[in-house]
Amino acid sequence: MFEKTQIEALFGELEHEWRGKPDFEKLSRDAHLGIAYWDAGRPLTKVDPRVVALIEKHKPKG
Amino acid sequence: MAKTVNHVVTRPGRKHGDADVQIPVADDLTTVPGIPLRETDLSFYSRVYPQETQNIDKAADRRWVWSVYSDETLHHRKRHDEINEPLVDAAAVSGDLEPTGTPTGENVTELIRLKARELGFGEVGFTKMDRRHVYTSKRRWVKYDHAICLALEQNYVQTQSLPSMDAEFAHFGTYEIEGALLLDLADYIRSLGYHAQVHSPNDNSGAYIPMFVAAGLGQLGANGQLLSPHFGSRARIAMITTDAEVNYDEPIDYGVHQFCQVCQVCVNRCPGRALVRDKVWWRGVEKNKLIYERCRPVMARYDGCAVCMKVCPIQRFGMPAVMEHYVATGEVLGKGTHLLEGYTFLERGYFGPGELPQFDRQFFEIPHGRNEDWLYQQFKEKLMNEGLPSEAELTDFAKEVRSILVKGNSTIGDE
Repeated sequence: MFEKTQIEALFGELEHEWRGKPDFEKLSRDAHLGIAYWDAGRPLTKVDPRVVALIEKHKPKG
Repeated sequence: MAKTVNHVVTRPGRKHGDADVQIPVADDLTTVPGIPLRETDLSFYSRVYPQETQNIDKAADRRWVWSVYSDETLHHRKRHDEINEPLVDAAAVSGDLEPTGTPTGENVTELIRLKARELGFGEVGFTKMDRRHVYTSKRRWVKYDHAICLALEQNYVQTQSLPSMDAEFAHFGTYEIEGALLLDLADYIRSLGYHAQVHSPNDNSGAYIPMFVAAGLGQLGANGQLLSPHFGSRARIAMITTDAEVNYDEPIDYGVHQFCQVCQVCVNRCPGRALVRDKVWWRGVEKNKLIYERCRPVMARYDGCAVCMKVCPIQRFGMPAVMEHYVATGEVLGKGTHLLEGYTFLERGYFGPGELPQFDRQFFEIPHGRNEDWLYQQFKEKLMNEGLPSEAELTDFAKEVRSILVKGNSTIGDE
Protein backbone atom coordinates (compact mmCIF):
# COMPACT_ATOMS: atom_id res chain seq x y z
CA MET A 1 0.00 0.00 0.00
CA PHE A 2 1.16 3.53 -0.76
CA GLU A 3 2.29 5.24 2.44
CA LYS A 4 1.85 8.94 3.18
CA THR A 5 5.42 9.81 2.18
CA GLN A 6 5.15 8.02 -1.16
CA ILE A 7 1.80 9.68 -1.91
CA GLU A 8 3.26 13.08 -1.08
CA ALA A 9 6.32 12.46 -3.23
CA LEU A 10 4.19 11.42 -6.19
CA PHE A 11 1.83 14.39 -5.94
CA GLY A 12 4.79 16.69 -5.28
CA GLU A 13 6.37 15.64 -8.56
CA LEU A 14 3.05 15.85 -10.39
CA GLU A 15 2.54 19.39 -9.13
CA HIS A 16 6.07 20.42 -9.96
CA GLU A 17 5.77 19.13 -13.52
CA TRP A 18 2.18 19.94 -14.38
CA ARG A 19 0.67 22.66 -12.16
CA GLY A 20 -0.48 25.56 -14.32
CA LYS A 21 -0.70 23.38 -17.45
CA PRO A 22 -4.03 22.36 -19.02
CA ASP A 23 -3.73 18.67 -18.13
CA PHE A 24 -3.01 19.21 -14.44
CA GLU A 25 -6.49 18.51 -13.15
CA LYS A 26 -7.00 15.45 -15.34
CA LEU A 27 -3.64 14.04 -14.26
CA SER A 28 -4.48 14.71 -10.60
CA ARG A 29 -7.74 12.81 -10.93
CA ASP A 30 -5.93 9.97 -12.66
CA ALA A 31 -3.22 9.92 -10.00
CA HIS A 32 -5.80 9.39 -7.26
CA LEU A 33 -7.53 6.70 -9.29
CA GLY A 34 -4.25 5.06 -10.31
CA ILE A 35 -2.92 4.82 -6.75
CA ALA A 36 -6.24 3.37 -5.60
CA TYR A 37 -6.13 0.77 -8.37
CA TRP A 38 -2.51 -0.04 -7.55
CA ASP A 39 -3.36 -0.44 -3.86
CA ALA A 40 -6.23 -2.76 -4.85
CA GLY A 41 -4.05 -4.83 -7.20
CA ARG A 42 -6.06 -3.79 -10.26
CA PRO A 43 -4.54 -3.08 -13.70
CA LEU A 44 -3.80 0.56 -14.56
CA THR A 45 -5.11 0.30 -18.11
CA LYS A 46 -7.58 3.19 -17.69
CA VAL A 47 -4.97 5.51 -16.21
CA ASP A 48 -2.97 8.10 -18.18
CA PRO A 49 0.49 6.71 -19.09
CA ARG A 50 2.19 9.76 -17.58
CA VAL A 51 0.54 8.92 -14.26
CA VAL A 52 1.42 5.25 -14.62
CA ALA A 53 5.07 6.30 -14.96
CA LEU A 54 4.82 8.31 -11.74
CA ILE A 55 3.21 5.38 -9.95
CA GLU A 56 5.99 3.08 -11.11
CA LYS A 57 8.57 5.55 -9.84
CA HIS A 58 7.04 6.14 -6.42
CA LYS A 59 5.34 2.84 -5.66
CA PRO A 60 6.26 0.94 -2.49
CA LYS A 61 9.37 -1.18 -2.89
CA GLY A 62 9.44 -4.91 -2.41
CA MET B 1 -15.57 -11.65 -5.17
CA ALA B 2 -17.22 -10.42 -8.38
CA LYS B 3 -20.82 -9.31 -8.18
CA THR B 4 -23.79 -9.72 -10.47
CA VAL B 5 -24.93 -6.53 -12.18
CA ASN B 6 -28.57 -5.71 -11.54
CA HIS B 7 -28.84 -2.72 -13.88
CA VAL B 8 -26.70 -0.13 -15.63
CA VAL B 9 -27.37 3.58 -15.25
CA THR B 10 -26.43 5.83 -18.19
CA ARG B 11 -25.78 9.47 -17.40
CA PRO B 12 -24.44 12.47 -19.33
CA GLY B 13 -20.68 13.12 -19.09
CA ARG B 14 -19.23 15.40 -16.45
CA LYS B 15 -19.00 18.43 -18.71
CA HIS B 16 -21.19 19.59 -21.58
CA GLY B 17 -20.05 17.71 -24.67
CA ASP B 18 -18.43 14.80 -22.79
CA ALA B 19 -19.53 11.28 -23.71
CA ASP B 20 -22.19 9.55 -21.61
CA VAL B 21 -21.00 7.32 -18.77
CA GLN B 22 -22.23 3.89 -17.68
CA ILE B 23 -22.61 3.02 -14.00
CA PRO B 24 -23.11 -0.69 -13.25
CA VAL B 25 -25.14 -1.30 -10.09
CA ALA B 26 -24.52 -4.61 -8.33
CA ASP B 27 -27.41 -6.85 -7.35
CA ASP B 28 -26.62 -6.61 -3.63
CA LEU B 29 -26.56 -2.79 -3.75
CA THR B 30 -29.93 -2.47 -5.42
CA THR B 31 -32.70 -0.98 -3.25
CA VAL B 32 -35.13 1.62 -4.57
CA PRO B 33 -34.89 4.56 -6.99
CA GLY B 34 -34.09 7.66 -4.95
CA ILE B 35 -34.53 6.90 -1.26
CA PRO B 36 -36.86 4.75 0.88
CA LEU B 37 -39.68 7.10 1.74
CA ARG B 38 -42.88 7.05 3.81
CA GLU B 39 -45.00 9.72 2.16
CA THR B 40 -47.52 9.95 5.00
CA ASP B 41 -44.76 10.44 7.59
CA LEU B 42 -43.03 13.08 5.50
CA SER B 43 -46.31 14.97 5.08
CA PHE B 44 -47.11 14.67 8.80
CA TYR B 45 -43.74 16.00 9.99
CA SER B 46 -43.80 18.76 7.41
CA ARG B 47 -47.22 19.90 8.64
CA VAL B 48 -46.83 19.44 12.40
CA TYR B 49 -43.07 19.87 12.87
CA PRO B 50 -42.02 22.01 9.89
CA GLN B 51 -38.34 22.56 9.30
CA GLU B 52 -36.65 25.89 9.73
CA THR B 53 -33.32 27.01 8.27
CA GLN B 54 -30.29 26.47 10.48
CA ASN B 55 -29.54 30.15 9.97
CA ILE B 56 -32.48 30.79 12.29
CA ASP B 57 -32.88 27.63 14.37
CA LYS B 58 -29.16 27.34 15.07
CA ALA B 59 -28.30 31.01 14.95
CA ALA B 60 -26.49 30.89 18.30
CA ASP B 61 -23.75 28.56 17.12
CA ARG B 62 -23.61 30.22 13.73
CA ARG B 63 -22.79 33.47 15.55
CA TRP B 64 -20.35 31.66 17.83
CA VAL B 65 -18.25 30.29 14.96
CA TRP B 66 -17.03 33.80 14.16
CA SER B 67 -15.40 33.87 17.61
CA VAL B 68 -13.26 30.77 16.94
CA TYR B 69 -12.29 31.38 13.32
CA SER B 70 -8.61 31.88 12.60
CA ASP B 71 -7.61 35.35 11.37
CA GLU B 72 -7.24 33.99 7.84
CA THR B 73 -10.70 32.38 7.90
CA LEU B 74 -12.24 35.52 9.37
CA HIS B 75 -10.72 37.70 6.66
CA HIS B 76 -11.79 35.29 3.92
CA ARG B 77 -15.33 34.94 5.23
CA LYS B 78 -15.81 38.71 5.41
CA ARG B 79 -14.56 39.10 1.88
CA HIS B 80 -16.83 36.30 0.67
CA ASP B 81 -19.85 37.89 2.33
CA GLU B 82 -19.14 41.21 0.59
CA ILE B 83 -19.02 39.48 -2.81
CA ASN B 84 -21.98 37.26 -2.08
CA GLU B 85 -24.43 39.76 -0.62
CA PRO B 86 -25.58 41.34 -3.91
CA LEU B 87 -26.02 37.87 -5.45
CA VAL B 88 -28.21 36.74 -2.55
CA ASP B 89 -30.18 40.00 -2.66
CA ALA B 90 -30.80 39.60 -6.40
CA ALA B 91 -31.95 36.00 -5.91
CA ALA B 92 -34.39 37.10 -3.17
CA VAL B 93 -36.38 39.30 -5.58
CA SER B 94 -35.82 37.24 -8.74
CA GLY B 95 -39.24 35.58 -8.58
CA ASP B 96 -40.98 38.95 -8.93
CA LEU B 97 -39.37 39.80 -12.27
CA GLU B 98 -41.60 39.56 -15.31
CA PRO B 99 -40.68 37.42 -18.34
CA THR B 100 -38.90 39.29 -21.13
CA GLY B 101 -39.94 36.95 -23.96
CA THR B 102 -43.12 35.35 -25.23
CA PRO B 103 -43.76 31.63 -24.75
CA THR B 104 -44.02 29.64 -27.99
CA GLY B 105 -46.03 26.91 -26.33
CA GLU B 106 -43.32 24.30 -26.78
CA ASN B 107 -41.96 22.32 -23.84
CA VAL B 108 -38.71 24.02 -22.79
CA THR B 109 -37.17 21.29 -20.61
CA GLU B 110 -34.31 20.48 -22.96
CA LEU B 111 -33.65 24.12 -23.84
CA ILE B 112 -33.17 24.92 -20.15
CA ARG B 113 -31.09 21.78 -19.55
CA LEU B 114 -28.82 22.62 -22.47
CA LYS B 115 -28.38 26.22 -21.37
CA ALA B 116 -27.57 25.12 -17.81
CA ARG B 117 -24.98 22.63 -19.07
CA GLU B 118 -23.45 25.28 -21.33
CA LEU B 119 -23.19 27.61 -18.34
CA GLY B 120 -21.21 24.92 -16.54
CA PHE B 121 -23.64 23.13 -14.24
CA GLY B 122 -22.53 19.52 -13.97
CA GLU B 123 -25.90 18.12 -12.95
CA VAL B 124 -29.27 19.42 -14.09
CA GLY B 125 -32.64 17.85 -13.26
CA PHE B 126 -36.33 18.71 -13.13
CA THR B 127 -38.89 17.77 -10.50
CA LYS B 128 -41.89 19.06 -8.60
CA MET B 129 -41.13 21.82 -6.09
CA ASP B 130 -42.03 19.74 -3.05
CA ARG B 131 -43.23 22.30 -0.53
CA ARG B 132 -42.95 19.80 2.29
CA HIS B 133 -39.23 20.55 2.29
CA VAL B 134 -39.59 24.34 2.39
CA TYR B 135 -38.52 26.14 5.57
CA THR B 136 -41.21 27.87 7.63
CA SER B 137 -39.70 31.31 7.07
CA LYS B 138 -39.74 30.77 3.29
CA ARG B 139 -43.16 29.26 2.75
CA ARG B 140 -44.73 32.49 1.52
CA TRP B 141 -41.66 33.32 -0.55
CA VAL B 142 -41.65 30.25 -2.83
CA LYS B 143 -43.64 31.09 -5.96
CA TYR B 144 -43.54 28.43 -8.67
CA ASP B 145 -44.31 24.72 -8.88
CA HIS B 146 -41.48 23.28 -10.97
CA ALA B 147 -37.96 22.91 -9.57
CA ILE B 148 -34.79 22.92 -11.66
CA CYS B 149 -32.05 21.30 -9.59
CA LEU B 150 -28.54 22.53 -10.39
CA ALA B 151 -25.16 21.34 -9.10
CA LEU B 152 -21.90 23.15 -9.76
CA GLU B 153 -18.72 21.16 -9.23
CA GLN B 154 -16.02 22.71 -7.07
CA ASN B 155 -12.33 22.42 -7.94
CA TYR B 156 -11.09 18.83 -7.72
CA VAL B 157 -7.48 19.45 -6.70
CA GLN B 158 -8.29 22.04 -4.02
CA THR B 159 -10.99 19.80 -2.57
CA GLN B 160 -8.57 16.93 -2.02
CA SER B 161 -6.51 19.17 0.29
CA LEU B 162 -9.33 19.16 2.86
CA PRO B 163 -9.31 20.35 5.58
CA SER B 164 -7.46 23.47 4.47
CA MET B 165 -7.93 27.09 3.57
CA ASP B 166 -7.25 26.18 -0.05
CA ALA B 167 -10.29 23.90 0.04
CA GLU B 168 -12.29 26.66 1.71
CA PHE B 169 -11.34 29.01 -1.14
CA ALA B 170 -12.78 26.40 -3.54
CA HIS B 171 -15.90 25.94 -1.39
CA PHE B 172 -16.82 29.63 -1.08
CA GLY B 173 -15.49 30.51 -4.53
CA THR B 174 -17.87 28.00 -6.09
CA TYR B 175 -20.80 29.66 -4.30
CA GLU B 176 -19.75 33.03 -5.71
CA ILE B 177 -19.61 31.68 -9.27
CA GLU B 178 -22.82 29.72 -8.83
CA GLY B 179 -24.74 32.73 -7.50
CA ALA B 180 -24.00 34.63 -10.71
CA LEU B 181 -24.69 31.65 -13.01
CA LEU B 182 -28.10 31.11 -11.42
CA LEU B 183 -29.08 34.70 -12.18
CA ASP B 184 -27.93 34.21 -15.81
CA LEU B 185 -29.99 31.04 -16.17
CA ALA B 186 -33.04 32.73 -14.63
CA ASP B 187 -32.65 35.55 -17.19
CA TYR B 188 -32.61 32.94 -19.94
CA ILE B 189 -35.83 31.33 -18.65
CA ARG B 190 -37.48 34.76 -18.58
CA SER B 191 -36.37 35.28 -22.19
CA LEU B 192 -38.33 32.11 -23.05
CA GLY B 193 -41.42 33.76 -21.63
CA TYR B 194 -41.60 32.35 -18.11
CA HIS B 195 -40.99 33.36 -14.50
CA ALA B 196 -37.90 32.11 -12.70
CA GLN B 197 -37.11 32.30 -8.98
CA VAL B 198 -33.54 31.68 -7.84
CA HIS B 199 -33.20 29.65 -4.64
CA SER B 200 -29.77 30.75 -3.53
CA PRO B 201 -27.27 28.27 -2.11
CA ASN B 202 -26.59 30.85 0.60
CA ASP B 203 -30.17 31.70 1.50
CA ASN B 204 -31.73 28.26 1.20
CA SER B 205 -35.49 28.08 0.89
CA GLY B 206 -35.58 24.54 2.21
CA ALA B 207 -33.85 21.19 2.13
CA TYR B 208 -32.70 20.91 -1.50
CA ILE B 209 -31.24 17.37 -1.48
CA PRO B 210 -34.60 15.54 -1.49
CA MET B 211 -35.52 17.27 -4.73
CA PHE B 212 -32.14 16.47 -6.29
CA VAL B 213 -32.75 12.82 -5.41
CA ALA B 214 -36.27 13.00 -6.88
CA ALA B 215 -34.78 14.46 -10.07
CA GLY B 216 -32.39 11.52 -10.39
CA LEU B 217 -29.20 13.51 -9.83
CA GLY B 218 -27.82 11.28 -7.10
CA GLN B 219 -28.68 9.64 -3.80
CA LEU B 220 -28.19 10.64 -0.18
CA GLY B 221 -24.86 9.46 1.24
CA ALA B 222 -24.06 8.33 4.79
CA ASN B 223 -22.27 11.68 5.20
CA GLY B 224 -25.58 13.50 4.77
CA GLN B 225 -24.54 14.85 1.37
CA LEU B 226 -25.89 14.32 -2.12
CA LEU B 227 -23.66 11.80 -3.92
CA SER B 228 -23.93 12.51 -7.62
CA PRO B 229 -22.32 10.42 -10.38
CA HIS B 230 -19.32 12.54 -11.35
CA PHE B 231 -18.35 14.46 -8.26
CA GLY B 232 -20.12 12.86 -5.32
CA SER B 233 -20.58 15.65 -2.83
CA ARG B 234 -17.91 17.90 -4.38
CA ALA B 235 -20.55 20.30 -5.63
CA ARG B 236 -22.61 23.24 -4.48
CA ILE B 237 -26.32 22.82 -5.04
CA ALA B 238 -29.07 25.33 -5.71
CA MET B 239 -32.44 25.50 -7.46
CA ILE B 240 -34.54 27.66 -9.72
CA THR B 241 -38.31 27.34 -9.63
CA THR B 242 -40.38 28.27 -12.64
CA ASP B 243 -43.84 28.25 -14.19
CA ALA B 244 -42.40 27.10 -17.52
CA GLU B 245 -43.79 23.91 -19.00
CA VAL B 246 -41.23 21.21 -18.21
CA ASN B 247 -41.05 17.43 -17.89
CA TYR B 248 -39.98 15.87 -14.62
CA ASP B 249 -37.04 13.49 -14.39
CA GLU B 250 -37.32 10.27 -12.38
CA PRO B 251 -35.38 9.18 -9.29
CA ILE B 252 -32.64 6.61 -9.96
CA ASP B 253 -31.13 3.78 -7.93
CA TYR B 254 -27.37 4.23 -8.29
CA GLY B 255 -26.79 1.68 -5.52
CA VAL B 256 -25.60 4.43 -3.14
CA HIS B 257 -28.22 3.81 -0.44
CA GLN B 258 -26.76 0.36 0.22
CA PHE B 259 -23.18 1.09 -0.90
CA CYS B 260 -22.73 3.52 1.99
CA GLN B 261 -23.62 0.73 4.43
CA VAL B 262 -20.85 -1.40 2.94
CA CYS B 263 -18.34 1.44 2.66
CA GLN B 264 -18.65 3.38 5.95
CA VAL B 265 -15.36 5.20 5.35
CA CYS B 266 -16.84 8.63 6.18
CA VAL B 267 -18.45 7.21 9.32
CA ASN B 268 -15.18 5.67 10.48
CA ARG B 269 -13.02 8.68 9.63
CA CYS B 270 -15.21 11.50 10.98
CA PRO B 271 -13.01 13.40 13.48
CA GLY B 272 -16.01 14.46 15.61
CA ARG B 273 -17.72 11.05 15.50
CA ALA B 274 -20.72 12.90 14.11
CA LEU B 275 -21.70 10.32 11.52
CA VAL B 276 -23.79 7.31 12.42
CA ARG B 277 -23.36 3.80 11.04
CA ASP B 278 -26.96 2.62 11.06
CA LYS B 279 -29.78 4.20 9.15
CA VAL B 280 -32.86 5.49 10.99
CA TRP B 281 -36.26 6.68 9.83
CA TRP B 282 -36.15 10.46 10.13
CA ARG B 283 -39.06 12.63 9.05
CA GLY B 284 -40.31 9.91 6.71
CA VAL B 285 -36.96 9.06 5.11
CA GLU B 286 -34.54 6.19 5.83
CA LYS B 287 -31.12 7.76 6.22
CA ASN B 288 -27.90 7.98 8.21
CA LYS B 289 -28.71 10.97 10.41
CA LEU B 290 -25.66 12.97 11.37
CA ILE B 291 -25.27 14.49 14.83
CA TYR B 292 -25.02 18.23 14.29
CA GLU B 293 -23.63 18.97 17.75
CA ARG B 294 -20.63 16.68 17.11
CA CYS B 295 -19.98 18.15 13.67
CA ARG B 296 -20.24 21.90 14.18
CA PRO B 297 -17.46 22.40 16.76
CA VAL B 298 -14.99 20.58 14.50
CA MET B 299 -16.08 22.36 11.33
CA ALA B 300 -15.73 25.74 12.96
CA ARG B 301 -12.23 25.20 14.35
CA TYR B 302 -10.63 23.16 11.57
CA ASP B 303 -11.01 25.04 8.29
CA GLY B 304 -14.49 23.73 7.60
CA CYS B 305 -13.33 20.12 8.23
CA ALA B 306 -15.31 18.26 5.51
CA VAL B 307 -13.24 15.11 6.06
CA CYS B 308 -16.48 13.27 5.18
CA MET B 309 -16.28 14.80 1.72
CA LYS B 310 -12.56 14.14 1.33
CA VAL B 311 -12.70 10.45 2.20
CA CYS B 312 -15.82 9.55 0.20
CA PRO B 313 -14.66 7.26 -2.62
CA ILE B 314 -17.45 8.50 -4.89
CA GLN B 315 -16.23 12.06 -4.43
CA ARG B 316 -12.60 11.04 -4.94
CA PHE B 317 -12.80 8.58 -7.82
CA GLY B 318 -16.28 9.17 -9.31
CA MET B 319 -19.26 6.83 -9.22
CA PRO B 320 -18.53 4.92 -12.46
CA ALA B 321 -15.06 3.80 -11.26
CA VAL B 322 -16.25 2.99 -7.73
CA MET B 323 -19.24 0.94 -8.85
CA GLU B 324 -17.26 -0.84 -11.58
CA HIS B 325 -14.63 -1.76 -8.97
CA TYR B 326 -17.31 -3.04 -6.60
CA VAL B 327 -18.84 -5.21 -9.33
CA ALA B 328 -15.41 -6.57 -10.30
CA THR B 329 -14.08 -7.25 -6.79
CA GLY B 330 -16.83 -6.84 -4.18
CA GLU B 331 -14.56 -4.26 -2.51
CA VAL B 332 -14.77 -0.52 -1.87
CA LEU B 333 -12.14 1.27 -3.95
CA GLY B 334 -9.58 2.93 -1.68
CA LYS B 335 -11.02 1.69 1.62
CA GLY B 336 -8.35 1.18 4.26
CA THR B 337 -5.67 3.07 2.33
CA HIS B 338 -3.68 6.16 3.24
CA LEU B 339 -4.67 7.64 -0.10
CA LEU B 340 -8.38 7.71 0.67
CA GLU B 341 -8.54 7.70 4.45
CA GLY B 342 -5.52 9.73 5.54
CA TYR B 343 -5.87 13.38 6.49
CA THR B 344 -3.85 16.11 8.17
CA PHE B 345 -5.65 18.06 10.85
CA LEU B 346 -3.88 21.39 11.27
CA GLU B 347 -1.60 21.41 14.34
CA ARG B 348 -2.71 17.93 15.37
CA GLY B 349 -0.84 16.34 12.49
CA TYR B 350 -1.51 13.35 10.29
CA PHE B 351 -4.11 10.63 10.93
CA GLY B 352 -3.85 7.49 8.85
CA PRO B 353 -6.41 4.70 8.50
CA GLY B 354 -7.72 3.67 11.94
CA GLU B 355 -6.39 6.81 13.66
CA LEU B 356 -8.62 9.65 14.85
CA PRO B 357 -7.99 12.91 16.70
CA GLN B 358 -9.25 13.05 20.29
CA PHE B 359 -11.29 15.91 21.74
CA ASP B 360 -12.38 16.42 25.33
CA ARG B 361 -15.99 17.04 26.29
CA GLN B 362 -15.50 20.78 26.66
CA PHE B 363 -14.57 20.98 22.99
CA PHE B 364 -18.15 20.14 22.07
CA GLU B 365 -19.78 22.66 24.41
CA ILE B 366 -21.03 25.38 22.09
CA PRO B 367 -24.05 27.69 22.10
CA HIS B 368 -27.29 26.01 21.05
CA GLY B 369 -30.55 27.07 19.45
CA ARG B 370 -31.66 30.50 18.40
CA ASN B 371 -29.86 33.62 19.63
CA GLU B 372 -32.62 34.46 22.11
CA ASP B 373 -32.73 30.85 23.37
CA TRP B 374 -29.02 30.93 24.10
CA LEU B 375 -29.23 34.28 25.84
CA TYR B 376 -31.99 32.92 28.09
CA GLN B 377 -29.97 29.78 28.80
CA GLN B 378 -27.01 31.91 29.91
CA PHE B 379 -29.32 34.03 32.05
CA LYS B 380 -30.72 30.93 33.79
CA GLU B 381 -27.23 29.63 34.53
CA LYS B 382 -26.18 32.98 35.96
CA LEU B 383 -29.33 33.03 38.08
CA MET B 384 -28.61 29.59 39.52
CA ASN B 385 -24.89 30.18 40.07
CA GLU B 386 -24.81 33.80 41.18
CA GLY B 387 -28.27 34.49 42.61
CA LEU B 388 -30.65 37.29 41.68
CA PRO B 389 -29.30 39.73 39.11
CA SER B 390 -29.01 43.42 39.80
CA GLU B 391 -31.37 45.96 38.28
CA ALA B 392 -28.67 46.93 35.80
CA GLU B 393 -28.06 43.31 34.77
CA LEU B 394 -31.80 42.77 34.24
CA THR B 395 -31.97 45.86 32.09
CA ASP B 396 -28.97 44.68 30.04
CA PHE B 397 -30.62 41.29 29.52
CA ALA B 398 -33.87 42.91 28.39
CA LYS B 399 -31.96 45.19 26.01
CA GLU B 400 -30.15 42.23 24.45
CA VAL B 401 -33.37 40.26 23.98
CA ARG B 402 -35.03 43.29 22.43
CA SER B 403 -32.09 43.87 20.14
CA ILE B 404 -32.33 40.29 18.84
CA LEU B 405 -36.10 40.47 18.37
CA VAL B 406 -36.04 43.86 16.66
CA LYS B 407 -33.19 42.87 14.36
CA GLY B 408 -35.07 39.72 13.46
CA ASN B 409 -33.66 36.45 12.26
CA SER B 410 -31.72 36.37 9.02
CA THR B 411 -32.16 33.38 6.74
CA ILE B 412 -28.87 34.10 5.04
CA GLY B 413 -25.91 31.88 5.78
CA ASP B 414 -22.96 30.12 4.23
CA GLU B 415 -24.45 26.75 3.28
